[in-house]
Amino acid sequence: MTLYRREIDEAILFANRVYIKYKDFIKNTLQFKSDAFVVNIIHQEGINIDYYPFSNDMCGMFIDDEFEKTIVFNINQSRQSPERRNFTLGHELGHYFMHRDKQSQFTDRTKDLMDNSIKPFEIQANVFASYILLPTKILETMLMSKYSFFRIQKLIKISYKALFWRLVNHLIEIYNLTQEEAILITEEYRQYSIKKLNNEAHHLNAQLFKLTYFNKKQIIDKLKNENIDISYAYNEDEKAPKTKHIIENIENIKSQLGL
Amino acid sequence: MSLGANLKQLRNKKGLSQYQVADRLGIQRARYNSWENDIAKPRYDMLEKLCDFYQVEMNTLMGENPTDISKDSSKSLEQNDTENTPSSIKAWLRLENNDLTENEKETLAEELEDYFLSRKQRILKKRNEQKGNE
Repeated sequence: MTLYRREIDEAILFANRVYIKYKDFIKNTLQFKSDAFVVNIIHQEGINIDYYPFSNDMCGMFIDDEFEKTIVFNINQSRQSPERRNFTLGHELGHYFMHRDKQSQFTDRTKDLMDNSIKPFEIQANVFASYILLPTKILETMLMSKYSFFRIQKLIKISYKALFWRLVNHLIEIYNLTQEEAILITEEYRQYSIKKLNNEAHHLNAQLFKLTYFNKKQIIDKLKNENIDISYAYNEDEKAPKTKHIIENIENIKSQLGL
Repeated sequence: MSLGANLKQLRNKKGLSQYQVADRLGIQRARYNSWENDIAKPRYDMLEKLCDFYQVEMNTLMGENPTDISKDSSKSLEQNDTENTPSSIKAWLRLENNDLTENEKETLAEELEDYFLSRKQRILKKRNEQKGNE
């Protein structure tokens, strides 16, 4: 990922601009609903949301032709996981904002929405998705309110992996860390969030909450000595998300928005 | 010539639409379409059916003996009506999905063709409704 730092920074810039344009839509930062936010942007940009039951691992498409602008998502994936659908919508929206003058059709399979995609357009669309689903301002407020990793995940409804990389990029951006350092801090925070059990406030011990620009070297040295297992970051198969969610389809979201 | 180009030429020579050929083979039009565009390859039993249907040898069909196929191919009239998947997506199907099996590719091509057809119909319907309201 560091290979494409310039492309990533560009995608972050785009996502921040789009966030600023639409931020008035957000009423309460701590009750931020990423799906409603993204659906609203898509609607305001005059893009039609469509779906199709692809049997394959197709995630979605962005099409811009003489008829209309369309974002298509795979309804079969959406049934299994709203997180996945949200990420697809954010990803296709990224193609719309960043790449539509270079290419008018984007067809994205799972391999394009992975963290290890090697195509610059896909990397950019993924970064854009993770920033538009969880804008910096919102993430900062949640961290300031000392939310655990899993509490943020539950609220925002993006996958654990997407949140993980979102945090890594956030730390790189804010504290000017290397990717390895950012992974170390994010992983410690994630592990502390798991260990809650009888102690609701356990995750507060994570170094992430103590991190400042001035003590970062000390904190990283300390974490390096603790031999934290960071294999999670590079482990490709993510546990399937629990399917206890109520299925929120796009029409519901739209009707709630009065669109 | 590729298998797909041969299929197209043979079909045009007979003056048939993709729908008509697909019907004869007992398959969906979209699946047949994926063969003509060289996105997927037909199974062997389908190739045999095609040979029977057009009365040609297998190697002729596969393009090993291209001169056997007549060159006087009149352009199919409904060509534009029967192909809805944009060419850039067809290219994507051919070039960037080598991790899929032929069957999976064929299914994906079918689904995409089906989606683009329904999208076109939905948009045309909407336009007609708007015209009706004016």
